[in-house]
Parts: sequence; structure tokens; C-alpha cells
Amino acid sequence: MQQFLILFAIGKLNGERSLSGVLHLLNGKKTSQTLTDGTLFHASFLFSALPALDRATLETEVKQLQANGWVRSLSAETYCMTSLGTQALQTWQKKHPYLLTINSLKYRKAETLFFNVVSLYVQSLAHVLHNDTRFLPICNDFHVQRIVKRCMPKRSERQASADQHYQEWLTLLNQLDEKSATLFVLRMSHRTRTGLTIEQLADQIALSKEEVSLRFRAVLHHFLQEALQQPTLYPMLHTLAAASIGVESVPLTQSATKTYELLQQGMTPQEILRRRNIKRSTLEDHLVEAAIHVPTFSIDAFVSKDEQQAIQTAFTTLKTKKLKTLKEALQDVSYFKIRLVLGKKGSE
Amino acid sequence: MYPTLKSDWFLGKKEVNKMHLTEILHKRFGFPTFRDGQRPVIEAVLQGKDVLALMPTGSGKSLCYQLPGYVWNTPVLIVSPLLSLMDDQVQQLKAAGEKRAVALNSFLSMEERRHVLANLSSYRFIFISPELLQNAYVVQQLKRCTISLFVVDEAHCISQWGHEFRTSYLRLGSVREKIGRPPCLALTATATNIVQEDIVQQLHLQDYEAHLASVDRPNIKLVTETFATEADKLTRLQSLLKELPGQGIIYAATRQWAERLAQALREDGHERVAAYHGGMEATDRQLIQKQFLRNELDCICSTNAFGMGINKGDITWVIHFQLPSDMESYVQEVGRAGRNGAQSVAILLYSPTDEELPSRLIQQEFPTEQQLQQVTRMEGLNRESASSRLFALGMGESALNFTLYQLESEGYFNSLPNQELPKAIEKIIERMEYRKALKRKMLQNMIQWTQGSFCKREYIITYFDEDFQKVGRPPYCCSYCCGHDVHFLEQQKRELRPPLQTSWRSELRFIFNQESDDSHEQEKPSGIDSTIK
Repeated sequence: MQQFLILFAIGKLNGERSLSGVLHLLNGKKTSQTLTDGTLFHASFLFSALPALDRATLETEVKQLQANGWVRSLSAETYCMTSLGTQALQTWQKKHPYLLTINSLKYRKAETLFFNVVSLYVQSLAHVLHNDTRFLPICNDFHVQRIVKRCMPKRSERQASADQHYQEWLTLLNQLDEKSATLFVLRMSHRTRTGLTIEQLADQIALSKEEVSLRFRAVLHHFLQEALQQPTLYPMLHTLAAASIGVESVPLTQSATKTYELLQQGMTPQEILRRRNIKRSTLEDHLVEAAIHVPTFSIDAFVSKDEQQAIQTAFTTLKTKKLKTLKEALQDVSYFKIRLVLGKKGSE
Repeated sequence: MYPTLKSDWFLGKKEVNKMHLTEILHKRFGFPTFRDGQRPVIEAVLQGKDVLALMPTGSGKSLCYQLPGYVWNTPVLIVSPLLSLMDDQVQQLKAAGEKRAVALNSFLSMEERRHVLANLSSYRFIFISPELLQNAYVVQQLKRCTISLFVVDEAHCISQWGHEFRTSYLRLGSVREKIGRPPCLALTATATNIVQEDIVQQLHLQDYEAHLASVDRPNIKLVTETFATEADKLTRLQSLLKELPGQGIIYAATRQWAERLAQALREDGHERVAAYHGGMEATDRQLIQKQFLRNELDCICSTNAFGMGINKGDITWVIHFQLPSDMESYVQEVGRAGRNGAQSVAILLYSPTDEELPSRLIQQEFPTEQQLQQVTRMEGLNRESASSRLFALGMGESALNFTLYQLESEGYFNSLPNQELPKAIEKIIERMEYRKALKRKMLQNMIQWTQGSFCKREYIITYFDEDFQKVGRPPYCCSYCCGHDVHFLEQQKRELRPPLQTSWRSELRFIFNQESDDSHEQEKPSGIDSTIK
């Protein structure tokens, strides 16, 4: 599993980022750079796919990939995928279709909270349906308990809510394969059984821990995606999802969020620079982030339509997203403008 | 209903006698009678005295502050050493119907903490970490809401951890003065005379009543076994697990060992074994703990992070795969077995290589002398800048805390003249050497106990300054008195984990109550999901 995820990352980054870039992406290191990488190359599920991967293991795995003839080195630090590697990856990917359900950029922040809310809700409902109110909650977090308390149905509506939940869960889980549905349900706690850990599920279903973890996240993201987009179809799960995701659904870094808010309030970039006392380059990073993640954010104020067109043309002609190459081709256009246009394009 | 007293709520001895404590006990906690030792402690607390209560694990220590909480109308403050312990206690209170319990710790968001702090007097039980008690605003709010009782749970931590890595413990006495000196109840399961004196001094107990129960747990047989290598120990562990009935805990020295043991046992066919340690994800840690409480697991392989505050009466055995750092820890950990009074066993597996790790840990808890000498060259630092400088010198967390606290006691942050600093450092080194020597001695005691040809129980009783003649020898005493046999334990049937034989669809129906319970339980072999092997 690990090996193919690394191969995938190298393939997606396509020799344009170093091994450190690969590591950051797989570790899910939340820097603007990693987020940009993720979107630019449509490889969001790789983000944080191997949070515990370390440099030494990565290097060993890459050596193995090289020995297989699946990657070759471009320079000391960069690798790209060979056609043999592409084949191997395609075969592997067919076996793991659930990966495409994962949308780390959108739901990474919300997934843990959503899981905690759902499992405490399920545990509570399963108990109170039998008038059993004395049980030890599976999650001690104050915040989670408050959300769940707010979402719990009134006594008279408990069974009706449970019926509706059952329908929603059945519909959503039937859209997945048996393994994913099984591990998701077994991770829940109810009256006669406590939920299983990732490791226990891996043992139980005979999958690797990495795969269980990715499959589990895929189900969470599937639930979040469907419930948030179709409140009429999934009213119960919609309530839980909306409460978990809160107001902040844009996956910007904290600092970028602040910049974005000031911009929304009508401040000019110059004013923001002074007000926040940040470097110009930092501000530019924030704007690129906004271009990637905020659909309503217009870049027209920073890049003229003509320049956007020019960058677009260079990109289609040269077929590369490598900033240096594009910059050389475009001469007078700044890196910042190129990144803005690529970012905006990548998100569409 | 009950006498609720507002301003001067402490009672005379006669009034306490007249109160129907048993009635409160029954009404609030559902117990018909007090357990040994609870009543005298509660009576002393109700009279407003400072109390040092040494009660064995599982004897119902928490009742000693919970019951008075229902007599008074102002909050009881409980200082608790572990965040998880605090949360567990709050959850247990809530599960028992007490809504006015809260844990104040660093896990609360700013907003939540502000909310709780603004409404402190509306709570009956406030759990707090010693670290948070260093916060001036917190202390000010506590002062305003008139705390009726200042409880220090697991008070031996003052001695065990206080001097090194949780120096906030050493400031509890002055915090208590600041919030108006409410009476203090210090609770612990194990404390030698030295540790008791330490507790009394650090918490500023005055005219206190000491209620010292014996550390002896007659229903736990104490067994030590020695092996040449770690591999031999593992073999023995595997065969022990086949023999031992019921549920148990295996203590390992490190996270890696906890994982390794769990893995090895699972590979040996023990499916219902899991690891537990501080390095695991919080969610999974919770799940493991709950599974164990609900008898879905037979055995937890754990670091010493597991156990404190675990309310499980039917643990039948505790195995130490590695040596604990001192007798105190050993007695604490072993004491988690047999709380329901059933015959239990504690087995320590020893091999000579075990000594290295605890010795190394003692070294790491303190700064090196060189590091301390370098401090003499630091001038004019405040706590924060000193902290980052010490970190830069390569000090770990506990060494750093130790140094900071010692510097503070020497007045370093409070205009200590520079020329005095070298002298202060000398004093600190002296104190450090003393603490290190003490810890090494405690470790030596532990090893001596493991290796010695004498009654294991008698040694422990004597170590804790009790008279063995009064305690006496139970039928299943120890490996010295009656060998290594463990077959006397009552054979309990181990249940299988039922739900894993059902499909996710039937699980889902069960969760949301889509059919009667019976069909869930009946659906066994036929319901095996094709995806589960």
C-alpha cells in the first residue's frame, strides 16, 4: 500500500517537486506550498495519506521503486514515474477506486470532528432508544458532546429519527463496496459492542492499516459530501455534517483566512500588508491559496485579462506547470501572477 | 432534605453523628453501606479538618469527597494528576446522574474555559490540573466562589513527580492559601512515611487527621519469576496467557514494548489483546479503554499511562513484563487487580537486562551538571526566555521543569544578584544529586524485592512502615511462601466477541432499532459477512 501511495505521489508531482515535497504531501504537512501542490496536480487524497512516513522509509521505498523500474531519478532529489510504473499504478488503482472519494482539501479539517460527532450520536441514540441513559460516552470532548446534545431528537421523535437515519445510512453505504461499509459500521459503538480501532479493523478484515485508514476516510468524506450537498435526501446526516463543519468550510491556513477576511472587508493589499505587518511574499501566498480554494475569489484585480490569457496559452503550449519554465517563457510576467492563474485554473 | 449549610458549614462531631450519612449514601450513590475506612474519613472531612487518607486502590476513595459534596452547597475542588483521569471521573459522575461536574484543563477551548470560569459556583465538583492552578485568573475566580473542600487526588504524585517534571505540585500549598485555605483532603493509595511527610509539608496540612489503611491487598498473590533473557520472558508470558482466566493488564516499560507484546500475543492466537499507550490517537485510545471496561478485550498491554482511575472491579491479574521504577509504582499498578475482592494474582517477570532502562530514565529526568553550569552564564532572563535557553541546552521536559522550579526557588527570576548565581547553582546541583540518589535507591529496593529470598508481602508491608504482625499472611501469599502456581484462580468463562460475526447490514438494523434485539443475537453463523474472514 505504502509503496504505491509513494509511487502515486511521485507520478503526480511528475519530477517537478523534490522528495521533500513528496514527503510533505504524504505527511499532510499543512503549509501553503503543500496545499498548492495538492490542488495543482489533482492529487488531494494523497494529502496526509501516510502521516507517519519518515524520510528514511521514504528513501528505502524509492530505492525499491527504482529497482522495480517504476521510477527513475532526474537529479539527486527528484524522481519521475516510468511507463512501467504508470502501468503498475493503473493496475493497482483499479483495485482501490475508493481513493477518489477522498477530498482532503475540503474535508480534512472536518473529518475528525464529524467522526466523533457521528459516533457519539450513534452510541447515544442506540442507548436511549432502549431508555438506557447511563452509559459511558465514547467521546469525552466537551465540544463534541455539546454538538451531539443539540442534535439529539426529542423523546417522542427518537424512533422516527432512528428510522430516517437507517434509511440514509443504508443508501449511502450501499453506494460503497462491502469492505468499506463493513469497517465503517464496525467502527461505531452501540449497546452491546464498542467500536473497533483502525488496527483491530485491519486485523479483522485482513487489510493493511493504511488501507483501512484511507477507506475509512473515504466513507467519512462520502457521507460529508452527500449530506452537505443534498440536505433534502439526507436531512439527519445533514444536520450532523453541518454542525461538524461549522462556518469555516474553506480549507485556508489560519493566516490566509485572516488576509482573506480583510480583503473581503474591502482593504487593499497594501493596507493589509501594513495592518498585518507581513511580508509581501506571504501576502502573495495567501492570495494564491484563496485563488485555489475560494471559488468566488476573483483574480482579475491582480492579473489583467490579457496576462491571464498569455499565461494560459503558455501553459497549454508548454504542457508544464513548472513555474520556472513558464516564467522563462513569459518573461515580464511575475511568478505571483503565474501562480494565481494556475491556482485558479486548478480549482476549476 | 439534607442539612444544607451556607456560611459556616463545618459540623461538630455530634452533628455529624446525627446526620444520616448512610441515607445520603444510599440515595445518591445506591450503596447500602460504607466500605471499610470510608466513614471515618468522611466524618473528619465534614468537620472541616485537614485529612490525609491512605486508602488502598479500589476502596472507594472518591466517595470521600463526593458525599460531602452533597452535604455542602459550594463546590468541591479536586486536583487531579492526569487529564484522562479527570475526564473519566467527570464522565462517571455524569453517567451516575450528576450534571454539575466539570473538568478544567487545557483541552477546553478559550471560550469554554471562560464560560466555566465565569460560572464556577454553579458546579458541585470541579476537577482541575495542578498546572492550571498556577494561573492567576483561575485562582482569583476560585477565591470568589468559596471552595468548601480542596481535594488532592493521587497525592503521592507530589513526591513521585512533583520534584521533577510536574513542579506545579509543589505550589499547591500556596495556591490553597490564596483561595482562602479551604480544608484539604489528600488522598492516596500508597505512601511511605517519607512520602506522607512530604504530602503534609507541601499541602500545608495543619492539625490534620491521618487515616492510614494498610497497603496490603490480601486477595492478590504476589509472584516474581526470573529469566535469563527477554525471549524467555516472552515465552513464559505466552504460556501464562493460556493459563490465566478472566481479564488482566500487562505493564511494559515503553510504548514500543507495549505494541510488541500485544502483537506477539495476537500472533500467538490471543485475538482479544490490544496495546494502549500515550502515543496512540485519542479516538483509538478511548475505544480500547471502553472495550476493556466492557469485557470485549481480555488483556491490555500498556505503559503506565493506563490504569489510574480505571473503574473496573473484575481485573483478575496484572503482569509486569518489565520492572517498575519503584515499589510505590508497583503497588499502585498491582492494586488494579481484584478490586471486587476476588482472588487475583500479580506476576512480575524479571530479567537482569531490565535494570538498564529505569536507570537511564532517572538520568534523563534531570539536567546534567554541565548544563546547570552553563546556566551560570545566563543573565537577566525571565521564565519564558529561560525556558527556551534551557531547551536549547538540550534539556528534556522534566529536566527543564526541574531547573526552572529550582531557579525560581532560588529567586533567580526575582532579582537574584548575578554574583550569587554560581552559589545557587551549586545548591541546585546538591539537591539534584540528592533526588537522583533517592530515585536510584528506590529502584534498588525494587530490584532487591524482586530478587530476594523472603516473603514478598512482608517486605512490602514493612517497606510502607506497617507492622506485618498486624496484617498477617493470607492463604495465597506470594511466590516465596507458596510457589508460582496460578491455578487457584477461579475459572471464568471467556466470552467470544459476538458482533463481528454479523454483517454490517444487521449491525445497522440493530443500532437504529429496526427489529427486535433477538433477531440480532440469533443471527450468528448464517449472518457471516462474505468480506470478513
